[in-house]
This record gives sequence, C-alpha cells and structure tokens, in this order.
Amino acid sequence: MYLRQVLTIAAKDLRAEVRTREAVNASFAFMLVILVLFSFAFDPGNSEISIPAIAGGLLWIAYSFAAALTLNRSFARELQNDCLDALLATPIPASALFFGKALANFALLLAMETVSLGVFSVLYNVKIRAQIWALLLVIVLGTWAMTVMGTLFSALTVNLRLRELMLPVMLYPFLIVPLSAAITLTSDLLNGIPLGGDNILWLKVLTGFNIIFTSLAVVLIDTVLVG
Amino acid sequence: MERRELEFVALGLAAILTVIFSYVLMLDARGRKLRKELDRVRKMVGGAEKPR
Amino acid sequence: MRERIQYLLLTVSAGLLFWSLYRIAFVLPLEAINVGAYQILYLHVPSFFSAFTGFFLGLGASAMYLKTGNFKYDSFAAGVNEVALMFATAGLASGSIWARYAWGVWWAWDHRLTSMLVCWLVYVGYLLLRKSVEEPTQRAQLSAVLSIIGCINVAFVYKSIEWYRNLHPSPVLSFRGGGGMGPGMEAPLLWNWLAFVCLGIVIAMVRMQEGEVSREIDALRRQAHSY
Repeated sequence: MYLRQVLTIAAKDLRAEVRTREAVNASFAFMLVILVLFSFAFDPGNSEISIPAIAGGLLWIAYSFAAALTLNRSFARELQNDCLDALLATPIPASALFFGKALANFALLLAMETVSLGVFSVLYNVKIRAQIWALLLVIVLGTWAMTVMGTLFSALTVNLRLRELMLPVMLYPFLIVPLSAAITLTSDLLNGIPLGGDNILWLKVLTGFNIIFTSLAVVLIDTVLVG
Repeated sequence: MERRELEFVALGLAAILTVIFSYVLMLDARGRKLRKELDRVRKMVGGAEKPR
Repeated sequence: MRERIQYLLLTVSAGLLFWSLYRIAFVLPLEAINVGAYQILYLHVPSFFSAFTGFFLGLGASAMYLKTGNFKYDSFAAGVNEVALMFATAGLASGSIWARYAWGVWWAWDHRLTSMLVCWLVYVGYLLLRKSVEEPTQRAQLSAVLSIIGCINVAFVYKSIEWYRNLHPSPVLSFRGGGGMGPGMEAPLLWNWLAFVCLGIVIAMVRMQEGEVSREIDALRRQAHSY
C-alpha cells in the first residue's frame, strides 16, 4: 500500500518530466556546459596535470551543480495551481510523498549522470570501462545522497522568495561529506585502484551518511511540509 | 622572537574581542530598533482600540 | 531577577578571563607544546568549545520545540545558535591569525579548518533561513529542522574530513587523547571555556529578549490587521 503510494507519486513526477522535458534538458545542457568549461580552468593537453587525479572532483562538481538545478524544481513545480496543497491534502503520509519525489529525482539524475559519464570520458580521455560497475555503484550511492538532501531542502525552501538561491546555499555544506567520499572513490577508480582496503572506509562513510540522513529526512519531512 | 610572538598573540586577542564586541553592538542596535518598532506598533494598536 | 543573573554571569566571566589573561601574560612560559605564540590557544580553543556547546544546545532546544511547540524553545535555539556562530567566527579569526604566524598562510585546507568552515556555513544558512521566513510558526519549524540536521551534519563532517586531510595540530589536551600540556597548563583553558560559556549565556539572554520583543510586535501587528 505504502509502496504503491510512493510509486504513484514517482510515476507522476517522472511522467510530467518526460513529457515536457523542461528540467532534464536544462540540467543536462548545464552539465555539458560545465564539463566544457572545466577545460578552460586548466589545460587538458598539459601533461603535467594528471587528469585522472582530478577527474573525480570535476565529475562530481558537475553532477552536484546539475543536481541543485533539478532538485530545486522538485517541489517548486507543485506551487502552480496549488498542486502542493492538493498533494498535502491527500491521505498519503508525507514520507510517501517525499520518497516518491526522491525516487523520481533519483531516476532523472542517474539518467543524466550516466550519459554525462560517457561524455566526460570522451572529452577528457579518461578510461572508465575497466571499473565500470564499481563506478556505477559509487555514482548510485553518491546520487542518492544528493537526492535525499536536495529533495528535503526543496521541501524546506518551497515557500521562500529566494528559493533558487537559498537551496544551493543551504544544500552544499550538507553534501560535503558524501561528495568528498564519492570524489575519493571515483578518483581512485579512475586511476585503476579497485574498491577495497583503504577505500572501504569511504564506502562506509557514504552508506552511513545515506542511511542516517534518509532516516532523518523521513522523520522530519512531516514538520517541513505540513507543519 | 619574543616581540613577534607577542604581536601575534595580541592580534589574535584583538580579533576575538573585535568579533565579540561587534556582535554585541549589533545586537544592541537591533534591540533598539525593535523596541522603537514595538512602541510604534503599540501606539498604532492602542489607537485603534479607542472608541471613534 | 533576570538582570541579576546577567550581571552575576558577566562578573564570573570577566573575572575568569582577566585571571587567565594575567596568567597568559606573566606566568606561562614563552614556548610550550612545540608551538610558538601558543598563548592564543587559550582563547582560540575555548571559543570553539563554546561554539560547539552552543550548537548542541541549539540542537536540543530545536528538538524540544518540535516536540512541544512552545515558542520559548524556538527563541532559545535562535539565540544560542546565533551566539555560537559568533564564537565560531571569533575562533576562525583567531585561528587564521595564529596560522599566519605558525604556518605562514592565512588559511589551509586541513580537516579541522575545513569542517569548521563548513559548520560556519551551515549556521549562516540557518540565519539566512530565519530571515527569509516571515510567518513565525513556519520560521520556527523550518529553522528547528535545519538546526537538527545541521548539528548532526557537523559531527559527520568533522569525522569524515579527519580521514581526508591532516595538518592542524593533533589533539593535545589530555581528555582528547593527547599527551596533555604540562602541569597546570591545561586548567586555564578549561576555565576560559567556562568564562566564554557564561559570557555566551548573557549575550544569548539579551538575544532572547529581542526574540520576545519581536514576537510581541508580530502579535500586535496581526491584531492590528484583524481590524
């Protein structure tokens, strides 16, 4: 029953997004632009700068910028025509609403990120095939962290005037932990170091963060949305 | 060496005191503004209660 | 009654601080724990201890507010978090000056500094959030949520960045697992912490009075608008 509620909300959001493709197009284009912009921040041809060493950082910064854009719209989209009030008036628990939206955002972000990963590896000549599954695991974990925090903050800032500015300002300090874990893991993977040994620590940090903050979000979402 | 150390210690102390004092001054200014606003609103509501 | 508490706390605080300043200037040796200009630590460290004390109190007060809905908790949380942010700023400023002396740079990206900066950003976000929500109940609820997840996040950030980088002096105080500072040298630091906490309570009480005034203004305004 609960699962059905969650999936209904997720399906609704995904359907809306796939039909109009507003946020996906903009965020995806933004991600590509950032990837291109990075090439001006340093000289990719310069052999002294080892790209695989900073590749993790570049990739996740691009991901997090695009995530902030997409997640912002998550609850903001419902403000028109009082859709948010309608959603809150339905008998589904606030946490189901939260999970539904989080799942939809998660799916969208993952789709954009996988495509960008391919683009990134082409643009910067970074080999990803060797560790592709481990890489995807790290991306899934990191994206869930961004999604959970971003959806929570989207709900928190939905009624604020300066929503587009406040969300990133408040969100990024919370993403420092999962992002630094994901960046370390990704950099290691792109450099050919497999998961294991020292890396497991960061995997644990990422998973721990996900579990704790997902639980916190579920507990607090009622207060944030309904009051 | 002693002199330089003392300078830095004094600078650090000054930094802390500056932060604390500026915050207290800001609180004071804000409190004054709020109290003025309270008087104004009180007068406004008090006036509305008078019979016309 | 309230004024008497404030004066008492102020006297205690001033007394402790003057005593410790006297000790710093005349009693302590000029170099210890292999670190020059270490006297500043007697103010830098208690500043951060007080900041953390404040943030934890804020966490508790926010949780109590969400449980009971009593606005006194919200006032307390706002006051305590703001004062704690002030202490954090003082700590960052004094630390930066000390860093200039000891390391030759104003800033470094080691784990303690980075996590403190992140903590500072989280609570600046807290203040920004409080300023942008006008409705008192919503403001109290949203900032309570932010205070709770912010404090937990700070704990996370601290631990995780410790595994990420290392330059700041490792724990030296005996209760933090270090070797202690030498006989009679640790106590003044803890006394200073008490002094700062007393000072912080006084300032927080002033701030809470402000909160009450502003709530009265809100109530009167609502009354006026209802005519």
